[in-house]
Amino acid sequence: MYSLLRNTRAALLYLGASPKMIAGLVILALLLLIGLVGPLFIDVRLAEPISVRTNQPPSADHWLGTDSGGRELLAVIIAGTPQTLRMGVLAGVIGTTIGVMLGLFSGYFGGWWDRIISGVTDTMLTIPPLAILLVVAASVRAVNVEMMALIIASLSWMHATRVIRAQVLTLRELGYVQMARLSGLGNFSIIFREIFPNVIPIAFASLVGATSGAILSGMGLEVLGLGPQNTPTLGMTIYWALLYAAFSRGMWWWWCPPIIILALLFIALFLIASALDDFANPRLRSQS
Amino acid sequence: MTWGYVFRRLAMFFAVVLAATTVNFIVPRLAPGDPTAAVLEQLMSRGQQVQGAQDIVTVYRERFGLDDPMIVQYGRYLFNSLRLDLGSSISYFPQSVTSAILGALPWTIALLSVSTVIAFGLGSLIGALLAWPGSPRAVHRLAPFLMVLSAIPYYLLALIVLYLLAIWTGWFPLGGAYSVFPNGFSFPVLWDLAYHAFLPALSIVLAGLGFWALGMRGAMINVLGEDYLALAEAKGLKKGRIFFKYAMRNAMLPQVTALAIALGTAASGSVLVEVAFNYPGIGYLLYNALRSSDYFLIQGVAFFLVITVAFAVLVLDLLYPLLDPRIQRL
Amino acid sequence: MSKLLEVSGADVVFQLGLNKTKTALQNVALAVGGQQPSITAVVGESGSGKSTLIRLLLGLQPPSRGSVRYDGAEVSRLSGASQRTFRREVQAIFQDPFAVYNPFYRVDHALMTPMRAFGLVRSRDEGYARIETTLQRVGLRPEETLGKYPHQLSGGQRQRVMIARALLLDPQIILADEPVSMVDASLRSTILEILFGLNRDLGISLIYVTHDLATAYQVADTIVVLHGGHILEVGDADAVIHRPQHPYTRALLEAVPSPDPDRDWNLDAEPPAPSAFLPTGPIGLYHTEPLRAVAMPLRPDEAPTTAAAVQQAVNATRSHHHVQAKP
Repeated sequence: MYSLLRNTRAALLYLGASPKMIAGLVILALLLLIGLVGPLFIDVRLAEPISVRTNQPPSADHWLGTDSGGRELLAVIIAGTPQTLRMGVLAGVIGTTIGVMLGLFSGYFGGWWDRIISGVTDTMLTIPPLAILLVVAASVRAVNVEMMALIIASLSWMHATRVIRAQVLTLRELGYVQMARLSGLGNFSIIFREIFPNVIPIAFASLVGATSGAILSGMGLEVLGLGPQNTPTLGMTIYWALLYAAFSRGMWWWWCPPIIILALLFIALFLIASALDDFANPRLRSQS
Repeated sequence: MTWGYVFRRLAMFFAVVLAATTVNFIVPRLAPGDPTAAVLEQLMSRGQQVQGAQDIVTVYRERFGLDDPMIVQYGRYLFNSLRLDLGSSISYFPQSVTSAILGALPWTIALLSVSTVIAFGLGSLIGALLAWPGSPRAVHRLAPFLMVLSAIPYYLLALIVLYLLAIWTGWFPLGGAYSVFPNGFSFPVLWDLAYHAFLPALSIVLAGLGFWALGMRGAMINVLGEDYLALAEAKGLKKGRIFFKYAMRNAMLPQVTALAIALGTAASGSVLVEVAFNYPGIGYLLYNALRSSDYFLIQGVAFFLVITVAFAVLVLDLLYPLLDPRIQRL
Repeated sequence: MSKLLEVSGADVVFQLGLNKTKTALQNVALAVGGQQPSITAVVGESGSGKSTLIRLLLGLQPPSRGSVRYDGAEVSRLSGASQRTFRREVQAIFQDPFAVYNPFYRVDHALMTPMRAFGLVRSRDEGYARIETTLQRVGLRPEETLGKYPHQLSGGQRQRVMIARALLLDPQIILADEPVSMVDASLRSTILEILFGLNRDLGISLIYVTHDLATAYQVADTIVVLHGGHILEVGDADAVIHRPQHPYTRALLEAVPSPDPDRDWNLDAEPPAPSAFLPTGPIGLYHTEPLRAVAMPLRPDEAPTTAAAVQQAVNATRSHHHVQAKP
């Protein structure tokens, strides 16, 4: 336990000094703040259709204006941003947990299981995630955020499996793993007590990557109109904006905010993942 | 490269095709109601608008043979998919799903392959220059800009590009792939095609550029630490030769591997780019299929997307040994 | 008296490709432990099969042919309690005293984990009490060692902590794989002294695997010369060093640079390639003296002996005047 704390402290010290990490966390915190503090000032029920006058440009009453469906867009952003984050984190955590487990077992045990797992992983990696998601989402029409997270999670474990497996293949041959076997530890103790702590930084980087990928996939479905129908989300807002030709009608207040928020979200997650990568692969560190 | 390797790659390709077919078969059956329910519901909601509605229903009843055992249904589905018989489209009836897709696929393949090759080549070159100590300052200043670019997804970049370069400035067309459908090849026709393809291609290139540049930079930093580079320098070789022949060539190998993996994501992204630009590829076809709940066309697009990418990966994997001298040739 | 770990007629063959194999060990017979606690040095260059031999003895590598037995039972078939006993009683010390530590944990983890895993201590305090005594036995101060991370200790300290780790488990046999080759020269003799003491005072049998003939001569009773997976010569340490009989052993000894300034190092002489000493046909070990056997072409009319038999013979004579500890 002590060592976990010490290693965490070392990681935090390094990451705390990384400009990428700081920038990423600040942006992420601001976006979280929108969802946490926003509802205190704005009535999020205005994010439902037909609750305000349609097609209003930004004004003192409606800071971000309203859309053609009668939604107050500031309320949509405040209600939608946390939904997007929740879906991404949920899918990312589930996907990465599965991925890390498969990577640990595949790399450690080797043999036939490894061939099967890494064969499936490599194969799945080449499948465009959108293709599978489309088929699923189009037949399960009434999705909610949790279900979407589950569906997306089932396609976001491969990257974690791949990087963890590669790492375990190296760690497995190291003296301390051999030593642990001579110390009477069983396979599971070796995997979780000796190997796992050493792949935590990589697992974290994959988690952030998987979360970002999940939000990307979710957005892909949403902008095609396959997102949750009853929850306001950023992607669905873009979908409606395009459907009602907000671009050519000059309704910039409709499509601009969701694009900016999504772009900021992706940039924040990228910066965090990149800082974690630097921490996990010190050779890149000195150059950045 | 051995026959075993070729065999494994081929097996992987067919595994992907099999997996895609199986997903297409199973998923609709997991959804509540029988598979024709969605189709029937669709047709009913449109009433008379669809000509030959009765024909479609008959076609599908026959096609599914719902009274047969599941395994027979699956076998038939597999067989039909493998000979690319994916049923008939509802929104493009009486056109078959396959012919609708084959009409759109060339646009997608041309757009995606040209822009991916540009993004890959240009990105790798920039990445190599980013890691190279001797490159000009200006190049190093590109790094943060590229990082931001690589973080923003294809679709969002496409919307931003569309707004800035088509709507706001009016420099480029709002969408489509041509002014009049091209008959034959002449200079004005090609110019028109390029003019329309520019913005979608630009979006894909911009979105991919950062990814390839950062990947190459990482690979290059690893290569630059190797002794053979110090040796090459000690031999007094020209800088340019060291850069291209010694450093970049070795750093390219992991990039090619990454290309095979990134192709699926790139294809997903470019499908959405087509939607943003109304570009008549399979992305646009998909969008229409979704709008009209043309379920078989949706499945068909997914199926073709998967096998196209799988085929590209197969080709890449079979070419890879030619790049890497450590792998034995046949 | 300790239990016997015995390899007999063992081959280890690795499958490299579909029809490519590599023979790492061929017809090897060795014994550790038994009636008289002893130290056997296995001398060989890299690629001789030393590491495979250690893995074979530890039960981490099953033999392709032949057997590895501990206390009479086939190691690969041990299960349950007897397997745990084997794991605990046959311990190892490895070459790299850094890689054997998990960088994530303090050195305490490496000492406490095995005791806990084998159920040797009931409480943390009891564990620490034993750890402190044992650290002192290998010449370390507990207060300067415990609570440190591996990278905060010197190579010599780390290797001594590893010896302590093995000792905490009350082993019968310790397999030391090049234990001093990555330790500073000034500390080597200290560590060899500790290993020698384990044999003399605690009755633990050791296999000392090394490429260094000088240290082998310092600590071992028997020297076994391993080359290309074959045992080429085996015998009493004094005899093998002073009167080598197999050409390969002679070549090895000649390759050791002499510290005598009057003797030339003869750097110009091209030494024969190591492969020149590999047997071309079937071979067997035959006695040339009572305490020595050398590999020779197989004789149809005479049954070959084994390294294990020679070891036992050396041990039997040594036990009468075992006190003659070498410098």
